[in-house]
Amino acid sequence: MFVYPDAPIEPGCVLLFVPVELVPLVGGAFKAMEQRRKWATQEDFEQGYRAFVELERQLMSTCLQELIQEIRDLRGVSPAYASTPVEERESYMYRSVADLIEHVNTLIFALSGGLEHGDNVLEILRGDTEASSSRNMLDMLE
Amino acid sequence: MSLIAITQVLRLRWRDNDGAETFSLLNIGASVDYVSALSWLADFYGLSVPMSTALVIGADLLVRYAENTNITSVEASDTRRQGVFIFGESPDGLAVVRLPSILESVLMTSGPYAGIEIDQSLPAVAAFVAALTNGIGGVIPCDPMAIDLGDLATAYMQRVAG
Repeated sequence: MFVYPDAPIEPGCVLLFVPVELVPLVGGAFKAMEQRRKWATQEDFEQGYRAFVELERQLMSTCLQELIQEIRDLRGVSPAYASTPVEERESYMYRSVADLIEHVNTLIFALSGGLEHGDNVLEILRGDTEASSSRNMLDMLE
Repeated sequence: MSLIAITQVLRLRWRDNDGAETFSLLNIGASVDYVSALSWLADFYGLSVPMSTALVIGADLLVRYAENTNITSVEASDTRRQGVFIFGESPDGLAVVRLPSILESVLMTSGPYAGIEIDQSLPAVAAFVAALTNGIGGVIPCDPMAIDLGDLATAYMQRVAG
């Protein structure tokens, strides 16, 4: 019987790359952990059951999707597609990193007359970012 | 093919100090009412515990039905090939319902999970999912923690150990 382990102070995870053809076998291997008798207590079972069913779910919706969304959030949506629902957006509907860098360089030139700029430029950019309702590449300057 | 009521079973699950487990079973008639059957289960527990050094870690009332004819499953059936329907929301509300020997024909034929993912657009699948999500006759199935299953999160085929 298993005791559900305590989570570390700083939560972490392990990213596995499971070949799609192995999804049925890997998922099936988790089945035993859905059983009450595998766990020492009801509390252990409830935590373990949820955790392993979540792993089974992730096999069909890998965390790569979430990572992709994080990257898209970082890039920020192009204004032309701001009204497009998130689930309907394609990659091209988000700003490119190259465009963002060019935009930042333009700002730096405009504010300081060149790439040799003072600290106040970053403060100005940071202020501009905080006024925005969406996260984008400018957040990286903080 | 038809299922008929057979004896109900009172089942006590025992565990010894080595962690080994076993059951003790007691049959009662199929027609015994629910309240009386549960009362007998409590009595079975109370009468058994004083005579054993093992612990009772579970007690079940099994209302049973069994196939009444000699049938043979079709050759292509395989209980280790299971349809897995995962309901609820991540990460703390997921629950699983399994359907053994899921038809190969309900699996997607294209896409990244071809041959693995269950096609939720098929009428039989959609009806199954809707019943578990919305309930039948005012009764909504729940997970082991007594929480309604909720919406389907994903459905696919697994191969489990024999």
